[in-house]
Amino acid sequence: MPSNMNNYFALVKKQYKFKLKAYVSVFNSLIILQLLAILFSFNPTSSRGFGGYGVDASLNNYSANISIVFTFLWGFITAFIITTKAYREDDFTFVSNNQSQGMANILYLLTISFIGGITAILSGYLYHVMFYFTTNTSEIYTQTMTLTELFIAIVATSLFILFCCALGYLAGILVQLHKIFGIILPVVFIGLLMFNGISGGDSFLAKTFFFYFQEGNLVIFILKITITSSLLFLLSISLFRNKEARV
Amino acid sequence: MISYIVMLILIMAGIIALFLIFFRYISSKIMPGARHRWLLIGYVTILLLAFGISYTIPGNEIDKNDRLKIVHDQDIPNLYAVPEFTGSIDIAQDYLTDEWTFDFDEETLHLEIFGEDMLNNIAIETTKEKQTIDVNLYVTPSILNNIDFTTGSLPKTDVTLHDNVLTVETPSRNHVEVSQLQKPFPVRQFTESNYLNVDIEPGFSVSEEVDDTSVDSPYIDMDGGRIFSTELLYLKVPANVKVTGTEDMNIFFID
Amino acid sequence: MNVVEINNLSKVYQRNKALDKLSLTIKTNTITGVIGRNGAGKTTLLKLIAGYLKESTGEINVFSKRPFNNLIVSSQSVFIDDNMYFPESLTLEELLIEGERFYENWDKAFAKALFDYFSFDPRAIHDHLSKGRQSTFNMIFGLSTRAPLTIFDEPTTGMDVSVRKDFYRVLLKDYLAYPRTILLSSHHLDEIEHLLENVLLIDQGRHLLHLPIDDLKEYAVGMTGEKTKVEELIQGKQIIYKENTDSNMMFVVMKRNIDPQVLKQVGISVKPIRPSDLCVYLTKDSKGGIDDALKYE
Repeated sequence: MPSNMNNYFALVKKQYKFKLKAYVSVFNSLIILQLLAILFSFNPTSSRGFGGYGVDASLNNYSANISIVFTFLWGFITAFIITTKAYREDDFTFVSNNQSQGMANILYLLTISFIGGITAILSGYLYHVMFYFTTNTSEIYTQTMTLTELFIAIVATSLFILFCCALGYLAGILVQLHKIFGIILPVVFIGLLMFNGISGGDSFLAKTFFFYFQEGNLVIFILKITITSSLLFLLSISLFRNKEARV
Repeated sequence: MISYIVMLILIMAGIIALFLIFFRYISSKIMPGARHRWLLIGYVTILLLAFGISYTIPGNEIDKNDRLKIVHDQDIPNLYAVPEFTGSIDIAQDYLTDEWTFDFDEETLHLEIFGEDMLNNIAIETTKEKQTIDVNLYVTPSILNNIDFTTGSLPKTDVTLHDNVLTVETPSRNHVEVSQLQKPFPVRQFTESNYLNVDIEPGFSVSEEVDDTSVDSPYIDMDGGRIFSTELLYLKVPANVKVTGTEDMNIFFID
Repeated sequence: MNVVEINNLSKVYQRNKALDKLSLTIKTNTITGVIGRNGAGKTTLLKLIAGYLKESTGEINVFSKRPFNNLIVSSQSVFIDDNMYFPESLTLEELLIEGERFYENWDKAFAKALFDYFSFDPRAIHDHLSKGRQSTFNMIFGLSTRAPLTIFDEPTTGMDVSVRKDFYRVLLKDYLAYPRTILLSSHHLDEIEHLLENVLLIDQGRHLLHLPIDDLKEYAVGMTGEKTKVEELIQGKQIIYKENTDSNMMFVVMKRNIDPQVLKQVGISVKPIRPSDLCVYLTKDSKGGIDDALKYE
């Protein structure tokens, strides 16, 4: 730890601002991904039909959820990419050490999580407008969000993205520490998937999934996500404590 | 199920990763420097515009939509059971969709029903003194996720009387398709119970026809957010008239 | 005062030892040339000093701090080589602005003047420049930081001759105007000899010499004479290099400690050895030169 905390935070702030400028192109991919997702969303997410006297009914559900899922993946991959050499060494061209770099990266990922969350939710409205003008279904029924719900949606989506970022960052750090993790991580993950296929809903993966995705209480959800993400980030920073630059 | 989704996500992640790497490569060639920022600002502006416009799009308010008038907790009578259980049709009066009246002075009435749809739930009230036949058609709506698909979309049923033959021609079905734009799942997680099971399943669920008439209440049970339509042809005939039908008709007499 | 103090420093990669028990000190506000053959450990040493690498054993202090992962060392030093990483999304102009934000002593006017002198396009991207242009930009960046400890590792890679000359001129002038500690590594001592104050010669991770340049010029002499006479003369003495130039002639390099008058009498000619040649002789494998490796019948 540096002796002068003020200098330390001033540096982290500088590095954070630097990243906002230097990594600005990650938003280009975000935009393209969300627009692509909107195109994919023109297929119904689910469709239910049934018949009664005189009427055949079908209810097609549409949503811009793909945009949100794509943004999750974007968060994971972006966090992974910023641990790679090309991004990491930029910092050491200027002033940095591993901790200040880690702190600045976390601040940066926090920022892009919220930008990702806001745009992902707002892209649903863009989808709504495009849907209205391009689809000739007889009737469109929109579940409009209230402002409170909009707020919840943005917060929850941003936190999910942050969680993905924390996972991606840790994965990136591990792979940077040793190339072998580039093989181990996918193998473990696919192994868990296969185990999940065998044991169904009781597997670790399913439980983890439901732990976050079935939490209906917003406050507990926020706690779960922030605590998990903090732990993941903390682990990443401490793993990278002794990482050498420019090897 | 989850592994299927995760697998799908993995494949998508791979595609996106490739895409991102490619994009990073070309973007620095075509658009160097901080000008990238304007792309994000432009995009957010478009999103905010869309946000505003989406509120001006008609039909997105629940109250303005005819199909959505169904009150959540209103009980809908099961027309397959109502006359049998209550001996009258009174509780189903809201669902009277059409009525015909014919002068009639024969002694037997023969019922003939054909057409694309089945209509074999028939109740006959034989208490009439006047020499007319009243034909009433009751239909309860098909409801899915609180959306009423039937009201306003029910095609006309043809009923004619020639001599002593009452002919009912059921209409071909109207296809009603309703598109529902759902809220994003991160908000449904906190506002709906069990949102995962209902909607994460991809693809179609099989459409079902109503075939179950064994009920012990005159009201329909909600089944997975869906209420099946029931129909009833209710005849009021003079007491002296004998009614005949075909074998497949399910005729119930109310005396 | 010493900026760099190194004691018994070793650095081991996987299996090979890049630095082997190196000890040295670098005084404040000096220009030191770090000389050695490829793979001698120059870059490793400089990266250790810059705090990029972690020492394996031994002690290293820069500004009295252990440099690895140290923010004070990082903010007080700059490391320039031809492999510097700059973000792809920032233009050269924006990189200079970032440099100003990070380095407190940054000289904006100086950076601008050099940037224009070498006619850089402010909107160009570092990665798209040629190797030589990248090196030139890196040099401008490094000098503009005015970092108290400025490290150049083979800074002139890819530069053409006129740019190299310009670079050395600028380096010297700027050093005189704003004294700081400069470490400059190269394998061509010739080129940088005129601006160095000290020379640090390392070979195979070991420290061979660390002398003021003037002492280095006087350090050794080369002697040519009849084989038998030369051999007699060097008997029992430590020699730096010896070579049979002819069937009965011999060339020897050794420390300057023999009276030239004596040599003249036995018919041995003496000539001074230039520092760059001396470095070559000092770091040559004892096996002999390329002539010995490839023996043509």
